[in-house]
Amino acid sequence: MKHVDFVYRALGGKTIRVCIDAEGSTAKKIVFTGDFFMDPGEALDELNAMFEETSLGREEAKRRVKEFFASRKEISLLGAAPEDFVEALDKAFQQLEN
Amino acid sequence: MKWRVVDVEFDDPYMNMAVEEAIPLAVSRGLAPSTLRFWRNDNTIVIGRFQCAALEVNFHACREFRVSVVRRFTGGGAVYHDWGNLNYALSIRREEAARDLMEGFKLLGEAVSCGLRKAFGIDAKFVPINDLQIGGRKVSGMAGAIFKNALFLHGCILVNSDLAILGRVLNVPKEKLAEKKVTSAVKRVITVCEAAGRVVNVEEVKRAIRLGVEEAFGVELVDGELTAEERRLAEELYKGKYCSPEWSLGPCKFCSMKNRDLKIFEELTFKRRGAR
Repeated sequence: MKHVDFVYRALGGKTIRVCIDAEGSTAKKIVFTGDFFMDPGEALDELNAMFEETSLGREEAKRRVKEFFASRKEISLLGAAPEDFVEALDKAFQQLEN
Repeated sequence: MKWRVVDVEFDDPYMNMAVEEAIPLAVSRGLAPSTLRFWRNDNTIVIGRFQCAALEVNFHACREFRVSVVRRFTGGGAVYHDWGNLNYALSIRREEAARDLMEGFKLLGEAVSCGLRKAFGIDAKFVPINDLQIGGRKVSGMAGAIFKNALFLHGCILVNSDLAILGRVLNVPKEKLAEKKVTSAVKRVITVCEAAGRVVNVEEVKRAIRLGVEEAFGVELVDGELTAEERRLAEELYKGKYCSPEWSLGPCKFCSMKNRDLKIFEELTFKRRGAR
């Protein structure tokens, strides 16, 4: 199992860290953490729960993150934006594949 | 308008964090007035709600320096607390509060900066999103959360903290340091004592913040105590949330490093719980 911890600096000034456990280029687990602000706080647990036991490639994982934020308009972020989560994930996969 | 001030702290950092959450819960439920709290922790790393302890904390250094690790209920980054660091926390009823966290950070940041300028003649400035800086170096960081009927904002200010330990126990990502154009976390921060060029004690900083808050928010601060309900809520949060490794180590349930650090975490937690 390969492990990647990617640090992404969002334009809003905060950090998003993406940890991926993978077999080849398929993510088995993905976790987002960081020093951003998110309300409601439970939303991050819900996002991470989607990727606890998974088997996803880069594009499908990104699609699910986009879909999560698109379907949860009540989530408010400070210091990072939904697009930053997608970009951070993309770059973490890139590191995984290198 | 009168707001309450409570000056209540424990040797146990998990109880300190439980009280920190109990107050805004009580304010939000209409059981307590808007409140400013002052408190300190001894030798503790407080990580943000969305952070992973295994990534942000050097647990081996924590063992060496007997530093506990607790996760707070607000976002933002990891900070190091010791007796030379003062925490200030505002729980404000929504009808008396800023509209959102950003506005809240600005108001509280300017209140604290103004207090520091007047008391110590130092050029402290609020720098968005959530920092107070002196000459480009951070002296205080803030965080916050929105409750149903209350806005909660808190911050910690380096009065005369041991920056050498701070540099050892926090793992600040090199990407963040590079963006801030510094080589270590220690070079990015400054204490009130260093900025003022003299010994400043915590009580002086409390007085400065009180004055700044009274002026910026147009309120009168009156000394008070925690209510019985706040104490009950704090006990509940202490036992059910803050003492558990599941909460304190972060939101990543599967992290393999978590088990590696669990033993040290429990060792440090049990030591501090015994101190209550």
